[in-house]
Amino acid sequence: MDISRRDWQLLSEYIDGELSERKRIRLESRLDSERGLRTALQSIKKTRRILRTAPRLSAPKEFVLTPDMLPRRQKESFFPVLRFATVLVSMLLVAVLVLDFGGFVSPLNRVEYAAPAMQQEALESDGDADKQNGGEQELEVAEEPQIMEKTEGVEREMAEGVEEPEEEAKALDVVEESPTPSSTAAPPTPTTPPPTQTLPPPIPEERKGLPVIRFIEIGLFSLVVILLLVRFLMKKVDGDVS
Amino acid sequence: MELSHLIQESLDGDLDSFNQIVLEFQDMVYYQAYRVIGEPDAAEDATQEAFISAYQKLHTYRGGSFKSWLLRIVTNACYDELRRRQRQPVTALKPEDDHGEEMNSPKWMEDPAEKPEEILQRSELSDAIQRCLNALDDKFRSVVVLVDIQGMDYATTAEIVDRPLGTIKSRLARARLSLQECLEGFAELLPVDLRQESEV
Repeated sequence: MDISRRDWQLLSEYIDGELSERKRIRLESRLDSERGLRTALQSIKKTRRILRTAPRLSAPKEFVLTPDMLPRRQKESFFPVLRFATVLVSMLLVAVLVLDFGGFVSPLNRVEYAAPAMQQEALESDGDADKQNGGEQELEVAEEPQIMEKTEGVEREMAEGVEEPEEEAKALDVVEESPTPSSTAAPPTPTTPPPTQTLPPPIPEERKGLPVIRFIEIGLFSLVVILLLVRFLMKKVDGDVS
Repeated sequence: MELSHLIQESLDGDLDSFNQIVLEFQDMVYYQAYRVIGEPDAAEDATQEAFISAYQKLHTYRGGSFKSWLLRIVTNACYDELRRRQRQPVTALKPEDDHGEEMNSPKWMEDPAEKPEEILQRSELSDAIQRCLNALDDKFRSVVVLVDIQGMDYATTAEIVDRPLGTIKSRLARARLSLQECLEGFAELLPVDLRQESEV
């Protein structure tokens, strides 16, 4: 074929009456003057005629449906349930996020965040107290924010946790009592007050990780993603025809 | 009974009403599947799948041309079948008779009013067209079958294959060019009027 692909496409659209008026007039004037274009036009018309006169085939059998051909019918009724579940879980997730970040959540959770930092702070101030031998005042200062944010639950934990520092104190006493080269030469120094009162309450193991609300958020988010994925896959399998 | 009534009754779960629709459109659906896939058995499978899918998706039909809606479903069923066949290639291209021999002219293509030589020529031309169609890429084939064989306009074809109008125009032009080159090799099979046209 001597003509370009662009011209061939113009001819293809021309024979189907799909060209705009302006393009049609321009093409017709070119057809008057270009023999190659006219030959191509005859050729494309003939191809279309052959295809349109192709013998039509009848169905070799009847394709009527029987009830046993429709096992996937139940899946249709599952879609609304799945959609409702997705919306419900999404709304729950939004509600939890608003509660969490909107400041509506119980201060208990914030204490949980602050606890590790406060413990570190308290330990540092405790160390200073040992060195300066007058750290009780500083410790009181360090404890101030902790006291402000404490709830009854945390106070209860502190009360329960009193025994553990005593054990630690005993361990410290053992270390101090052990003879060292300097201690044998020097007279025994007065012992510092036991750290029972200065050490902050230990944080229970189960509270050192992410707070409960975070687990709820992660769980809900995962559920939303899973539900969306299941819906997408089911639609994909079902065939996108609409 | 009117098509809209049959559709409504099918939506209410009446399978017999839907089967009346099946009988009305099965030739068109099968023919589309056969021309797109190019193999009778696979075309039958695609046709059956298309009708099952149509029954299940009937609630998504929002009026308009039911034929176009059905052609969209069968075209998608053909794509699925072609994808499946690409994964598991099948060698048989022609139907077989009772003795396992390949038939050039299956019985359902025969018209009792035709002379044997006409039947032979017609079936050979049909085979030639199918051979040329099979040489096309799937996406070109479905467009040319919809426009030139099913007689759909560009806009409807674009809707059926879910592609922009510009893509349809370009695919159709390229498909016609390939078919024109391929069909030149089967000039002797063309009807007399078309043969004379090419000699002019």
